[in-house]
Amino acid sequence: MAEYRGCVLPEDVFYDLDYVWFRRELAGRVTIGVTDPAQTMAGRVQAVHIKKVETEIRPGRHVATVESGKWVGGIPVPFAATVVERNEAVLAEPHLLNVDPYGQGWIARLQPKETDQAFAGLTTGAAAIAALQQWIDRYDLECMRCSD
Amino acid sequence: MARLSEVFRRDHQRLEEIIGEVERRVATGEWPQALAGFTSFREAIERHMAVEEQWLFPVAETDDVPASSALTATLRKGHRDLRVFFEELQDALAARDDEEFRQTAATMRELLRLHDEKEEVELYSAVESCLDNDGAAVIARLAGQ
Repeated sequence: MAEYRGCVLPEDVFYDLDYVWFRRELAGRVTIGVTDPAQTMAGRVQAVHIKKVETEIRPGRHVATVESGKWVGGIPVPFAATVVERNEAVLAEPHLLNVDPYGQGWIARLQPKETDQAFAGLTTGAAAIAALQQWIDRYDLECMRCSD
Repeated sequence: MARLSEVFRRDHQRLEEIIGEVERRVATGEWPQALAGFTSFREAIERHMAVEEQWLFPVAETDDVPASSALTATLRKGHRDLRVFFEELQDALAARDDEEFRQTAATMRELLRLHDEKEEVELYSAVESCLDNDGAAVIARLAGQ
């Protein structure tokens, strides 16, 4: 697990190189969440809205929206997919995104329309870590995990 | 003649009022009126963003303006993000899904508020002194002339 300026950057997930990570699961499903540097930049998350289960997501559309005291925005999905599970714990306690962004703070599970193509536009491994380190430097971030 | 910054600020307020009226129509179940209002909103905000992208951002990206390319990169990304929300709002209206519309509209309006604030504080004042007589042409384009 890579770490840079306090930011945890797992090598085994895929990234859009902005603020979203994607993890390959069994049966071709994909779990989606926000990165550690992104949660740091957003600050304490106050609200999360996730699309209903069975919602069809077109490429580029949002599966969720996130609001903190200083940031608001959508969580984009770059491939066509169906929402198969929402993280009810995050809906009840949005702050989990800050506490455990790659674990308990996952946002949704998706079933891509074309499993083979889902990761085509995403980056993983050393190339992703290098790009994310540049992202962290660009915003001059030091990652923090709020525990309360 | 009104200053460019003032004209764009007033246009932000006008757009806020139009989308606010759409939200009220959705809340009372007046779907045809809501859809018509949203069509007007999209036409107006697309004109607003197009004028900024074609006329104001390029000025801000020149070396002699105290606004950086980083600012316009952020604002251009903001426009792209907003356009995704507009598509999602259009879909929610077509499906007559008031819950989806309400949640998406709330997020979009907050994103729009933060975006407008950044433009009003950092962009308009930086570019208007460089536009000189071109400022009137930009204002005319915003008015659809």
